Amino acid sequence: MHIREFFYTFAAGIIPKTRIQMEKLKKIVRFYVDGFKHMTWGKELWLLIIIKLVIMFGILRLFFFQPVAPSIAM
Amino acid sequence: MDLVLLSRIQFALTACYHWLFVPLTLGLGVVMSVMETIYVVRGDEAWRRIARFWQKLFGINFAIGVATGIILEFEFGTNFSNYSWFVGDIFGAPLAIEGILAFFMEATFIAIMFFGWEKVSKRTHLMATWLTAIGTMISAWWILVANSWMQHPVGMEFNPDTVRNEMMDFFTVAFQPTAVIKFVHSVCSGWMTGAMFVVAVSAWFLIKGRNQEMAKKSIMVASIVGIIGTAFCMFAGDKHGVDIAKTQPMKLAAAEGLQQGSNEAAFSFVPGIEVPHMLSFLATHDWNGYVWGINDLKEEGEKQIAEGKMALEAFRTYRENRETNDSVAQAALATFNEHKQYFGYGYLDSADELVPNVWLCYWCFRLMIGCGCIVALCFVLGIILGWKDWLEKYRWILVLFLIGLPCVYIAGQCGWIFTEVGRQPWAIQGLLPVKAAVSSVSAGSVLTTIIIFATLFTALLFAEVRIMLRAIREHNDK
Repeated sequence: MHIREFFYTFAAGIIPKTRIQMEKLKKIVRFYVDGFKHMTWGKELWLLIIIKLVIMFGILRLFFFQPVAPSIAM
Repeated sequence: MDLVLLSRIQFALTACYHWLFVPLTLGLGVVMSVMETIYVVRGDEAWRRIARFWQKLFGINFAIGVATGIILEFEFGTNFSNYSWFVGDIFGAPLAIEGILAFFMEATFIAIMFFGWEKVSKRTHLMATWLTAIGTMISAWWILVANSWMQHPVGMEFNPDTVRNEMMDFFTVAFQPTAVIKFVHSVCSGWMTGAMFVVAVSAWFLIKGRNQEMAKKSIMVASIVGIIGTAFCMFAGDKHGVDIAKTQPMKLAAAEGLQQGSNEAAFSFVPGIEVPHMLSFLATHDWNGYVWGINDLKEEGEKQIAEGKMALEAFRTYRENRETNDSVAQAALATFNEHKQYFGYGYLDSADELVPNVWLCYWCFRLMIGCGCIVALCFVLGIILGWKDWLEKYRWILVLFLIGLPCVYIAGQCGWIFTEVGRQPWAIQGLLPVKAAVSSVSAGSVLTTIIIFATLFTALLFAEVRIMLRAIREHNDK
């Protein structure tokens, strides 16, 4: 698949309007699905990224990092 | 413990951790792109395997480092809410651009780079690889614009009604000389890190007698990228020195431990070994240029603090009277405008507060330069030995290449510690001291999060370094 096809599909809009566009969108989806399926090291790394994001947003941001009202404006 | 100190420790811890991954991403991006370019130009399958191996390590480092910077943004909201309120309109813009433009660019092309080897044409893949590398640099640009603005605030106007600084000129903020110099210096130090990483890993392969052809080719390419990075880094470092002498003279004085200003300022290599006039030359490009000393700046600071107190008092009077007594408010506003240049100094109690930690600045600066020189030496040796095909002949040089890896990290960390410690007491130079920038939270809660971070970061780092080491150990170029 050529890089121009990516740009073309996105430029034409996210929702495919013609059969050609639908084919292109399918190609893109297949590209990612295949890529994720055939990952070797990537699986372990994605797991690590997800754990990290859960810790950051699900624990740290939720329980420890609540925005504080600034006192400088008072 | 002191809330300000704890808040600074927490931010420093997070930033230092983040900076372990960023320079490697910046540098490895360029090295792997050059390798893939050689593959596309020559069509040699060996270069394809080499490029793919370094791309794998790039991917591991990218995954390890991803999102470590997000914590810094949490801290702005929680621990530095006054800072965020005071300059969020300006500081937020480059951060937002970084997130929207650069990060999405990296995210798009990194997928094509990793998933597209067998699916897109060689040239398309090469373009995706280069765009991934360029995306990391654009990302660094906007973060460094934000940091440079804190070191040298320009292009804004203070609004006393909202107590916020408002951006008046985006292009001045985005392209001021301080930002350009800092970008070149930081990104090229990243190139040095990436190149040194490749040289060190390749040296390890040669010591172990594995993947030798790949290792030799990698050392050659990385050393060339590294030496180019070093040259630009030194050039920008020189410009940075001149810029600091003008915009942050206290930082320069602290880096040299220079108590009294002089036209014949000597550069101290280590205590007791000095080169006369050299600091004058480095700071002003004139052998007899005047360099400010700590005591001169403190004297100047007394006056600035007095003016700052007037500005702060007038500002408070304005805020108290602006809705009830217009004439008093307008008079106060006029006084404020007269002295607002020194507004931030009004928060300081004495000129002693203007002096950063001299010991830390002095030694970090020297460690940065010393370690940088060792790394530069490694690149020179890498090119010469690679050119002559003598790499396996001198085992001690391969060991030196291994030593170069911690050196490049020490240089990078010390550079940032010097930059950030050297501008204390300021969060934003001359505008807002750190003690006024921090939130009114309890020191205990900051200490708790520091302990959580230190534990979490250490655990994550161990897990992540293990993955990286395993990828290197298990690699077989055949």
